[in-house]
Amino acid sequence: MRNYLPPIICGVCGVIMMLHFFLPENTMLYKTMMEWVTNSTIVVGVFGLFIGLASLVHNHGNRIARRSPGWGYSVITLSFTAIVALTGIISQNVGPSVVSKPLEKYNYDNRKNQDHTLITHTLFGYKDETYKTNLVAAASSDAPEMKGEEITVRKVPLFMFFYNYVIMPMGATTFSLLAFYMITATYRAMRAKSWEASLLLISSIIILIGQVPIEEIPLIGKWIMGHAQLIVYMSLILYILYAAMKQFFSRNFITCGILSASAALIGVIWYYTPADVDFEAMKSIILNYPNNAAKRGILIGVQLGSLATSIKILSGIEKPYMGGRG
Amino acid sequence: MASGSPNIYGPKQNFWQRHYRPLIYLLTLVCVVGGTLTRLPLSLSVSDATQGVFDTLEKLPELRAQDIEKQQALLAEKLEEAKTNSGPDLQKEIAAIKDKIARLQMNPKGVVLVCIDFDPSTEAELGPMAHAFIRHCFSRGVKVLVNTGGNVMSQPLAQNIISASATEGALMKKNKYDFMEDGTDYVFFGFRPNAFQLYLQMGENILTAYETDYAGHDLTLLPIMRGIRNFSDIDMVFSISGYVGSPETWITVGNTKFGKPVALGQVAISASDYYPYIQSKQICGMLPGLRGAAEYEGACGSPPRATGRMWAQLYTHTFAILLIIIGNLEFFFKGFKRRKV
Amino acid sequence: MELFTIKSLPLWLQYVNENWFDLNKLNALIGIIIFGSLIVYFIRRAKSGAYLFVRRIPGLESIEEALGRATEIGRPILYISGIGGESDMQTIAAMNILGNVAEQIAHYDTDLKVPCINPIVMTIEQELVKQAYTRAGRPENYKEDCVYYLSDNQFAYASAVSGIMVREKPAANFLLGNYAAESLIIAEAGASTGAIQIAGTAAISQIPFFIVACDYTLIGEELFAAGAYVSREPLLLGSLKGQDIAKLVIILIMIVAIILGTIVSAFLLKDGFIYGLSDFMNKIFDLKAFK
Repeated sequence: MRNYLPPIICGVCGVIMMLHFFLPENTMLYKTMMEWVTNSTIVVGVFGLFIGLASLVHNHGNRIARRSPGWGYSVITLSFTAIVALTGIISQNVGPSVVSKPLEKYNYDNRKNQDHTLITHTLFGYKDETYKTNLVAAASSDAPEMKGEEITVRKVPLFMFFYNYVIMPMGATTFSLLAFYMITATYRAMRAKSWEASLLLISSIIILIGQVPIEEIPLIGKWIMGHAQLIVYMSLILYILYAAMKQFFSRNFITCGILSASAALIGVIWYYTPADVDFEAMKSIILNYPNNAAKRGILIGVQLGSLATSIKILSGIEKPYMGGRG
Repeated sequence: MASGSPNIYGPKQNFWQRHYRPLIYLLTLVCVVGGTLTRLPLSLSVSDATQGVFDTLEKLPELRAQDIEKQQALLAEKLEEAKTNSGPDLQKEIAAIKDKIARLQMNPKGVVLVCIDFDPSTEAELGPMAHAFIRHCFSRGVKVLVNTGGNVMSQPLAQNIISASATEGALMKKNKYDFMEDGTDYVFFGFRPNAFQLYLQMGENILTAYETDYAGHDLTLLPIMRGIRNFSDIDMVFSISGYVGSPETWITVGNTKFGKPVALGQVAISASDYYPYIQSKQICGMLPGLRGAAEYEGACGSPPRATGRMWAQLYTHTFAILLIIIGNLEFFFKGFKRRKV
Repeated sequence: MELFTIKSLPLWLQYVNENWFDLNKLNALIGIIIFGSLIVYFIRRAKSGAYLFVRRIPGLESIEEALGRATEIGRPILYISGIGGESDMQTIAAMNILGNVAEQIAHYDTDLKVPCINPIVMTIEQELVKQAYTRAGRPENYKEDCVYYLSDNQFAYASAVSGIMVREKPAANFLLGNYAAESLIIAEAGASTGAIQIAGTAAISQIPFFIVACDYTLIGEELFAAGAYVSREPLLLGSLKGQDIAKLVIILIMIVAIILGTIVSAFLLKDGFIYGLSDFMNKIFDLKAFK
């Protein structure tokens, strides 16, 4: 039973989903199946959340019990899991206070969205950005009579406090590590070691420059933007001629000839390139043509691989849910 | 030895070769801090991908009017048919079409579904585009439905964004608008697990997919939902996602299945994956990363959050290009030195 | 000119289209039947003993080298199956490879660590690793704690995995599956410890980061081929071959469609056989072919 039931369930559910795809949308059967599938997946998804929580508690609980290396981190993990869960469960009105100044003209007592406390966080605490900046905007606008005078004290949910002051900064910090890793990876990897690496190098420089308003850099920015074609084509031609020279001195005359002809062809393309093609236009060309071609090729292969894997799972050839080969 | 190991220079190393990592990190930090402190205005040209999103939103009243015309033509056809054949099925169809026309006429400026599907880690790039797009919708009188994708972390973020955008109409440089009411001008559905199935069910009936809004108010009692039953009453989908797979879901569900224009907001790393969809017209446009957000802010007059951050990107990109040049010069000169020896 | 419309079909087909089968998706059904038939055909050929050539994939050839190195140094092996869920194809492909890798690890008696981001994937992988150890004849070596759940938050997971790499210094890291922005964080952390790294993903935007930071990278569908490649089972090899032939069929259709489309554009054709054929070829992959 243990060997047969999971593949049968998998196969039957897969066939149901396939039939569902082919049914016309306005039929009763389609709507019924849709509702059943939606409700089932929501239920399974929610159980998945519980499994995650149970696994977290079990794993870290074991580490604390055995005093494994780093068990202190497990104590922190579990205590904050409990604290944040509790703050979400208790009343929405418990939390720090925020002073806000609503505008006089707009009477917040009668408006529904006065329950939304508009908070942004700064380094040193809450900043009630909306009301203050509205006051600033109102004071400098054509309607000076909109300056507010009423002061209201509002409670902020503690749960949002944790979200705005712990989760948001920590999440942003971890993602920002990526920028530093990427710069070092760029420095290590972007070397013209071969012609493929050189192509990668040139296209990445074009896109790096095209992505930002480089003309804002003082002294050289405008020059770089104005001479985009000179920089790109000249670099390409010089690099190809350098490679041709290397081949010449290695006595590979045919390769030298081909490379020299390529350099000449690039010169011809440069001659016929319209004058308004700058780094931004080149970036668009690279993203819309070679990038799309490569991505489509990989996408087709990946989707076919996914389709084959799906067919193998539905037909029971592969059973990853039963330890590989069942 | 792994190619990424720190010892890429071999046993004999100078100061730079020994300490290049922390030095690069420090200089990157200087670039980012310098960019953050630079408070000068910046003007950016709008790319085709961004323009596509902007133009589609501007054309929503037109799209809605075309939809109404189509339904009215269909109604006329069915009424003509009813003169010769008055079966109960035909009467039901006629009633459904009349109901549909009434719903479409309730929101003549259009309805947009915004899926805010990112977490605080990508908020720096995607938050400003969410703000800008929703403000643009409000300034045009378009009704906004907001939902989240598969991650619960998006909910508080979406809540902050929609609340701020609803009340910050006076901050716009152009296209200022009055305060927007929750339940009348916009509704936030909140988080539900298993987003893909929910999106499919929205095609049938939004009220069964989401029975209440995020605050627990019954959707059937909200004024905005009177004219919205399912996907056919929505004119455009804008998916702002920091996760893999979510945009493809919206392209499959929103465009392929329901035939609605879908626009994407993506982080810069993933943006290049979605240019094929622009070419094949499966999406009407895309806001690629911080640059796309800054372009959109400029186009619709939204307060310049992303535009201010572009300075940091400018300095960091310039530093990256300098590093690439330095690295390649080092590489070439090392090659010359080796041949000399 | 529209080649087909719903109204041009016979009444009984229109009835079927409204009540039983959406004819717009007929091309998808035909595609699945052709694709499935190819797979079945090649599986039969593989089972009958025919030799099916699969080109060398360096990343997969080096798995044994990585495992041997880890055993010699006496440090653990870290296996990360990405951030995808249990229904993600890349995660399934990664789990297939995990089964084979775990079986080899069981023979070597090396420590295996499999931190997971998804609790359901964790339960599947626990079962998978346990079965692998049993198949290898070493069920007593299986440790329950080797497959564990960290966090479902992407960057919390990346931080935790980086911490594991820096503290426990695994000798070999397998980064196979669906990755997003955390790929570079994890790969760089692993690279800084000097571990041998084998990565594989079908997430196109992350492939450059793996190529830069890892020793071997499986690109795109090489990840899906890995299960067949490593185990050399006839069933899996046959389906891999079927998949490749299907790709060849698609390429041929695309080439013909491009040639026809070019002729139509060059000669500004608006009707005729070539125009009709070109229109038909363009609609082969369209899910709204019947308007």
